Amino acid sequence: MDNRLFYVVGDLVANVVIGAIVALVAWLIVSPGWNMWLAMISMMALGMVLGLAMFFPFSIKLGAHETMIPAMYTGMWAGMFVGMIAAMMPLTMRHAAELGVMVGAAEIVFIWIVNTLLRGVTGEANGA
Amino acid sequence: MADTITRAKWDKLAPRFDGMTSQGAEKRWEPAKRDLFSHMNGYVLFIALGTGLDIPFFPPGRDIVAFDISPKMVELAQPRIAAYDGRIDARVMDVHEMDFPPESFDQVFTSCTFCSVPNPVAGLKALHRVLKPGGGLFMFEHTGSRFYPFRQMMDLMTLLTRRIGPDMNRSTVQNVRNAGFRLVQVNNVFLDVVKTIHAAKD
Repeated sequence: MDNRLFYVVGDLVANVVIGAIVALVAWLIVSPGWNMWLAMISMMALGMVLGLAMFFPFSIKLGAHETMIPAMYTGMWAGMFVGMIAAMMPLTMRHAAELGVMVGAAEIVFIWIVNTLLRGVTGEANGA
Repeated sequence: MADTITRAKWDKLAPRFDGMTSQGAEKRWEPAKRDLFSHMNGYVLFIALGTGLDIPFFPPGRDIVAFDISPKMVELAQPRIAAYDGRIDARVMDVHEMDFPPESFDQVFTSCTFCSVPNPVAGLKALHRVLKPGGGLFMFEHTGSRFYPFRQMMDLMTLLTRRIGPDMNRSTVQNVRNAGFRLVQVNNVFLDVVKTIHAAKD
């Protein structure tokens, strides 16, 4: 992960905000009685698109790739997760936003872990 | 024949380019770029110059020929060229139509270039031609990913980004090999998407 504090905090805030907004959109659209699979898949797709749209203002200060990829990933999971739950049970607006925040925080931690595993010198020059 | 479509695309983006990248991407990538450019030595070719955002990261006192396909970009780069403590000969040129004699340069550097070159392997072969035997190719590039779900995301993004600027899913490391270079080192900067590539002409 990028260990400069500005980027650590910025990445976290960006993904928490995007997660909450996507979750609220999914909460507004999906209600109990929806087919759970339809809600999950449609909100996953919508979340990815919303994440892709919302990355731009954050990217001005945080960088394009480091914002765009986590934003899409957070949008995808926040939409899918909240869409699924909203189809199964009544959900308050606050609860939906909290779920989105948690998904956003979890996704950026996942990206940090994957980045820590992938970054650095690779074996590609040796044919790996 | 000049690639007027690519030229027009980057000319159109030029006035907004610094606003889009100078505060975010360039600052975030500064340590990795400084590290890559610290290898500059001898007679250096740099593509694509853009608005010259990379110039402050160049080590001082180098002798560099730099070009870009977009005349507007080269025009906007002039203040940064003037401020550089060394020599930069800036030109408007297409990588596919370089008029340098074969084996002219000791090193070639690229920075977020081969996401946008329309025919990347042909472009890299052109760089191979102008590089001296034993010379180095040093690249800072963003590429596609080898891993799910990032690979699919980059494919999806490319549907949008290709219209205004770069592709996000290029196989640049493989393209470097296909152009006849020997890979020396690949270093991932962010995931396996943003990376530095060092290759050599044997």
